[in-house]
Amino acid sequence: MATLELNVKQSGIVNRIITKTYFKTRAGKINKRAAERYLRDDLPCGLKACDECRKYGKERLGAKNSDINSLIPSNHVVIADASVWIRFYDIFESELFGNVLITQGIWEYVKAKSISAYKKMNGLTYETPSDRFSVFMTEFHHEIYVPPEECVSESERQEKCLLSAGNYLLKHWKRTGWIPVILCGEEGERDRFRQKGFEQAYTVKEYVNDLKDAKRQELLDKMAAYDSSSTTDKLIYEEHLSHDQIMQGIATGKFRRGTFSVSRENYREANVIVDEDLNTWFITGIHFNRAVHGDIVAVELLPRTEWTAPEKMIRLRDVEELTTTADAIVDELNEDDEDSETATNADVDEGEPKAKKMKKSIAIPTAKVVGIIKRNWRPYCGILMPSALKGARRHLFCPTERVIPRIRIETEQAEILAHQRIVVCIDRCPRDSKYPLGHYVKTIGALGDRDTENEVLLLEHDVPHAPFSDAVIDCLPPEDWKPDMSNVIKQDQWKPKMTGVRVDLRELNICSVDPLGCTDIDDALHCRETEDGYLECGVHIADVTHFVRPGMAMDDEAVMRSTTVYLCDRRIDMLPARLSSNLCSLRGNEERYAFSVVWKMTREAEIIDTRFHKSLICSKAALTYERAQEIIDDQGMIDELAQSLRRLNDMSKLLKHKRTANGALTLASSEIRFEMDWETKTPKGVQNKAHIDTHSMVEEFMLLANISVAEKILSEYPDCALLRRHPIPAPVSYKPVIEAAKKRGYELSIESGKALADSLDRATDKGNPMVNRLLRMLTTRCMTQALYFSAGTIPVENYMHFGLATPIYTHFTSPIRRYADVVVHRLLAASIGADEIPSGLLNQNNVKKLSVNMNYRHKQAQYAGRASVQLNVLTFFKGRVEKVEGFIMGVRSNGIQIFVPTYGVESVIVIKPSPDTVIDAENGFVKAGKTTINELDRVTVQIRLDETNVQRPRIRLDLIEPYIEGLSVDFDLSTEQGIGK
Amino acid sequence: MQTQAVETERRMIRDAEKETDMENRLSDGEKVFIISGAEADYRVDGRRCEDFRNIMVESGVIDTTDGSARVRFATTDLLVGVKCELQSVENSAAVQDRIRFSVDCSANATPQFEGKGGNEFADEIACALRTAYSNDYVVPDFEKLAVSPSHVWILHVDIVILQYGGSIIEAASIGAIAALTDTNICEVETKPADENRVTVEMSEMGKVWNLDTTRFPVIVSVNKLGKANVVDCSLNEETCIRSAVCFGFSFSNKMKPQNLYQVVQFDELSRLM
Amino acid sequence: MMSIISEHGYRIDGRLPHQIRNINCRLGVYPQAEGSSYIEQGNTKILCAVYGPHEAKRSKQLQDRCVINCQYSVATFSGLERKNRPRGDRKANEFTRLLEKTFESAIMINAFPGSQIDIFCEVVQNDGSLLAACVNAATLALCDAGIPMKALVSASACGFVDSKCLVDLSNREETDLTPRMTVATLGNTSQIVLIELENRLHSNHLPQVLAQSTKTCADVFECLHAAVRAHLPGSVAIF
Repeated sequence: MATLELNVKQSGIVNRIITKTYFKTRAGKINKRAAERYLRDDLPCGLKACDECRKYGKERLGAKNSDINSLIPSNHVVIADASVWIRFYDIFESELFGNVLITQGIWEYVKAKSISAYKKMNGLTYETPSDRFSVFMTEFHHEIYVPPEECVSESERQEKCLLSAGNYLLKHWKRTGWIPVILCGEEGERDRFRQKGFEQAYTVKEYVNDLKDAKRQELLDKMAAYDSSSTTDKLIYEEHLSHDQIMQGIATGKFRRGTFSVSRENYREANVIVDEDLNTWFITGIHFNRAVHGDIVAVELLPRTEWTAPEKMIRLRDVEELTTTADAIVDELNEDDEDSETATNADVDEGEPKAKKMKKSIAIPTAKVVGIIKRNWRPYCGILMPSALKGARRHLFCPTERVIPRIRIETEQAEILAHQRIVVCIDRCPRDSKYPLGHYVKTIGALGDRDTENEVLLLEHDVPHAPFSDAVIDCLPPEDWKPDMSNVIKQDQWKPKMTGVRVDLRELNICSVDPLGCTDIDDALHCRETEDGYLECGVHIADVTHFVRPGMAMDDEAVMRSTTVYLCDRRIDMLPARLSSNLCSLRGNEERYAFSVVWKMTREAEIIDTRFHKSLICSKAALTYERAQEIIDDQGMIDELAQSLRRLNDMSKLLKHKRTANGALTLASSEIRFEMDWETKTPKGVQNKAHIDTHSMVEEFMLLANISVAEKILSEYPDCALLRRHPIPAPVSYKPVIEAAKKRGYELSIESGKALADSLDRATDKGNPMVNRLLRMLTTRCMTQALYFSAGTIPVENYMHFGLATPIYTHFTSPIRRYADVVVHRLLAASIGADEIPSGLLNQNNVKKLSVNMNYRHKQAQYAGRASVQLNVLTFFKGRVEKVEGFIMGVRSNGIQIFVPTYGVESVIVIKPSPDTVIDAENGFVKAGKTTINELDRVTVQIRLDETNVQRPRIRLDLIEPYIEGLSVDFDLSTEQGIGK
Repeated sequence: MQTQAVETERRMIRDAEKETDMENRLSDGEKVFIISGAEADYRVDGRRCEDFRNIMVESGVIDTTDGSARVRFATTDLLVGVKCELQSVENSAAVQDRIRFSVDCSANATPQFEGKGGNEFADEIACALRTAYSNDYVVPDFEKLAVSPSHVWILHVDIVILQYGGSIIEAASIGAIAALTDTNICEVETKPADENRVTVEMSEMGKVWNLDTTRFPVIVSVNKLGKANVVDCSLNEETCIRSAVCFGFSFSNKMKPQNLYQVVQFDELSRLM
Repeated sequence: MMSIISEHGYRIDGRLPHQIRNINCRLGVYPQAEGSSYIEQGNTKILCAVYGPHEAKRSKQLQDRCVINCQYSVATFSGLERKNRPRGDRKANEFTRLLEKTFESAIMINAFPGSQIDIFCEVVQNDGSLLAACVNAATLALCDAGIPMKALVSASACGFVDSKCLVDLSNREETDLTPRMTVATLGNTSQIVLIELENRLHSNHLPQVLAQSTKTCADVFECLHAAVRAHLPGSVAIF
């Protein structure tokens, strides 16, 4: 040990040495550190009986214990080795250990290797006032310190240090009569100590065994429980294959390629759709092999013997955090902040628990991930879970998106970030780390702040919400735009195939019917009698394509946004307000351009003739649904407008009847909307969703318009028309609702849409009208998504829209808020000669790409809207507790899913297992004592906001009647596909 | 009139001199003295033309580096530090310059080196060293520096000139050899990672290996003082030389000299003084 | 994970929070400079050379006093990771200005109108508290050069962690978030000629930090003073 000169005389310091160590940084660089160390001689040993050290204060150990152990006849102080602390830290709580000395070397080693052991050690030594533990600063002691250069490895150095300390203390305490005793984890170590001359070395088992007190049995039991030492392999996961190997494997059929999709119910299970027929392979546990939800992966089927099935358990990370013991959480969440000096990676954890082996009969094809073809990472919003260690740099980040795993990041700003919503990106997923590694990108804002939460919502759902750029604003027509009358012709002058004209419909009694507070009015209706006894009904849609021309910046922006997004307190428009709320919007008493579909139909709603043309209208009134209904019902009103409305109403009823006869489905949605207090932008209450006739009236005519337009554009452009379809769901997807209905005694038929609709109509319970609604909701969940597609890319029989029971469908009636409608407008305009078709739309590939984007945005907008409602539910329940009616939607192996229709809240109540509670997931019931609850039963629950975790407030449901003790977790099960209209 | 012109001229000369801050400006007489003495094989400090001054080399002087050395030639003082960096690259075979040199003239040596003043000179020395080492023969451990196809050790040799007393390039080359001999490179192991790549891990505590420096080149400059060929010039002598040639030698069993540098003009040298 | 002050109250290198590191210094290391010094504060090693007073460049000359020109340069191999540029970055320029200002207050600049004094500091090994060590090195070099000063300037760095003042920080203790203050005082008094703060310090803690810094500067002053006195007999011809 090369000591250096010491010029400055300071109390306690006697020596100075330089130690050189190599360490590897996280970035992969290998650095050499030359550190100074000052060795002192004023470090107390901590024994009360020691005279020399008394002058330093700080002595603690002194409880006489010469007779507690048969092995050791004199007063002794126990020094336990690091491995003893790491494995058996719990035993030190016992009073049988009256004098325990912890050397500084052991303290630091334990701190680096096991956080839970360290916490215990720290707690016993410093946090609770006790005289049983004392720390001896051996690393700074000039007579004990062993420099790393003299040893081959860190563990050898630890042993040498311990030996050195033991010998020193032997000498130091000779006069007092106390002796140090070293406790080792295993015999090999103990023998080495004895060989080197230190006699009083024992294994901890020997020591405890020879304690005279009877309580030693407890300790022995505790030790046996810990004995299975977990070996931590440094490499946890299999390696990913190279790109070439994967491609070869796919070509030979050994591997399959698909998108990795984590289950929302159980974060340890995932599925990959491996081919066009939607066959899925199941992946669980460690076979995830670091794939993240959304990645495109290559999977290999496991041998049949290893196939397993979903656990049918609700397993969410949050739930597990709430129910596992504190220490286990600490270990898992705060995986040791690595002291980058130790050359080994200190990821101490038990690895993934093995999935239960499922019965052979229910096992489904199970696979493992062998390589990643494409990563689909994006920046994730979420919150930081700071490490329990003070001053630690590595923390876990918890994304709001449940299916994304925790991400480990390094930051020193943990305290500042702890109450913020932050954005983190994943960098890589190394083989030896349980969690992916990432870095902090930016902060969005404070937790709970409404704007921050909205921003998170929009970011998470990839909703473009930046203000419109200058380039877009420049595309807008001026405020004082007036219609150009030069190409306007009278109605009777119009003939089919006339190009470039607009029909003047300003004297028609056109009116619009929309929800209260709607500013973007895109549709208006009229109905009048013709001279030849027929009815002329017309639907007029805002002529958006007149203003949004292909090639404009505004058009590009609209393509990207694809849809207007409706949040509870905010609306993100697809088009700038000047168009959406003013120049395109069919406001009352304003002259506006429109695109009209006019039918000539009989009084039995048979269509004789359909006309499409651009027009100029002047809506007579912009009514609300309620107002329109009032006008219809009020017999006193007999003006043309009222009559027009009545005719429309009657026609719509006939149309609806026809549709139902064809097998159109009426399903229910579990979603609610809030009535907002626009000043504070907080929710006031749930909106009443009473369905009145005028809703159907508008709906039927919009459907009719869409269908008519679909037929027209398909006839003109059979290989590139933009249509919308709803695929028939596979029979297996109906399983949940069929079973639920069966338990109630209803038979649901899925032979055809009509059969399903009829059987749903029959499945009513007079005593409980909610049952039918719940069944309809469950059916909605079994549905597939409706999708946009280009004609010509799939067989014609697949064009059908299952939910609406029509062979062809598209979107035409809302161009202000959907881009698909803009495309359809352009196609229709070209087909009637009113406008030139943009060349892009004639290319099937282009239309395909557009469809893919629109489908994605539509889905994201839906999810965003739902998330916004959920957010407002949380806000609504701040400080509010209510008793509400709930229904059991499903039974899982560890709990029940409860739906509260009033608030559209779905939550899971995890039921504590107890001897008299039986949960049968297969047959769908829970039996607790004498009460049994089945699926679709009505129960009473108490709903309130649980803010115990400040970072994540959740809705808490407690089962009040019948009473079963449980724990509730909020859970968004609404994987409603919904049926698009 | 004339006095004024002379005055202006004198002032201009003085200004020009001030610009260059001649500490070593020798008068013509002194120069003649030095040159004739050299031609007669007598040098000002008593040496012969082929004699070197006392060279003192100390290695392991700086703890933060992987290898270091200090070279002293009477009034020339250099500090050399070597830092090893493990770089992840696409293809380690493509990385040819694994020993990189950089020289920094510290202002401690002379105020002329303040700011960017010494940069040109420093670049020349660095360039000379680089050329000397970019030779297959001199670095036998070249392949060993490439740890895996995607990881390679880069040795950064940094030289700081603390005192300027002539013969910088000799001192630099000696310092480089001493520092590189003293350099400890950490032993690493490669472990397989994803996609046929490898990661590099340290082997146990502090195992290191050293480069084989037996063939590292030494650079010697031979200067022309008048007609005499002189080695190891002091500062004053450097002001007087006409030209100099620098050779780099790498020794093995066969003495095989390698010509590595080129002639440096007198004017350049004097400008640097 | 090493916290800066461990639970037991000691720092990573075994010192107590108020203890400084070892100081070794030598004056007169370069013959070519007017004055030079070498200082080691713990593992931080600094070489300093002083040139002057000599005539200043026309552009910089001041008629009533002398100009102090400093250069602060850090050797590329001096730190844990190799630094590409020895000088010219923002930090170096900032330290340069600080050094100039400090010594303008300490040196009797009115004694040399129109001239310039150069102070060049070269950091050979970086282990924290660089600015303080440079000030100390420069003081010694100026003494060696015989330039008249009001008093010896001594400096020390003080950090604030866990409500305790930490003196003479090493590299590991200078993290991105710990507030640290470098204070230089004139002689043994509490007249401050330099204060530099990194990161943020709450104003309530300022008096405590200043008091500790001043005390430590006094301790450092003792060391420097002793070094100068030891050097005197060797350098001055005493008849």
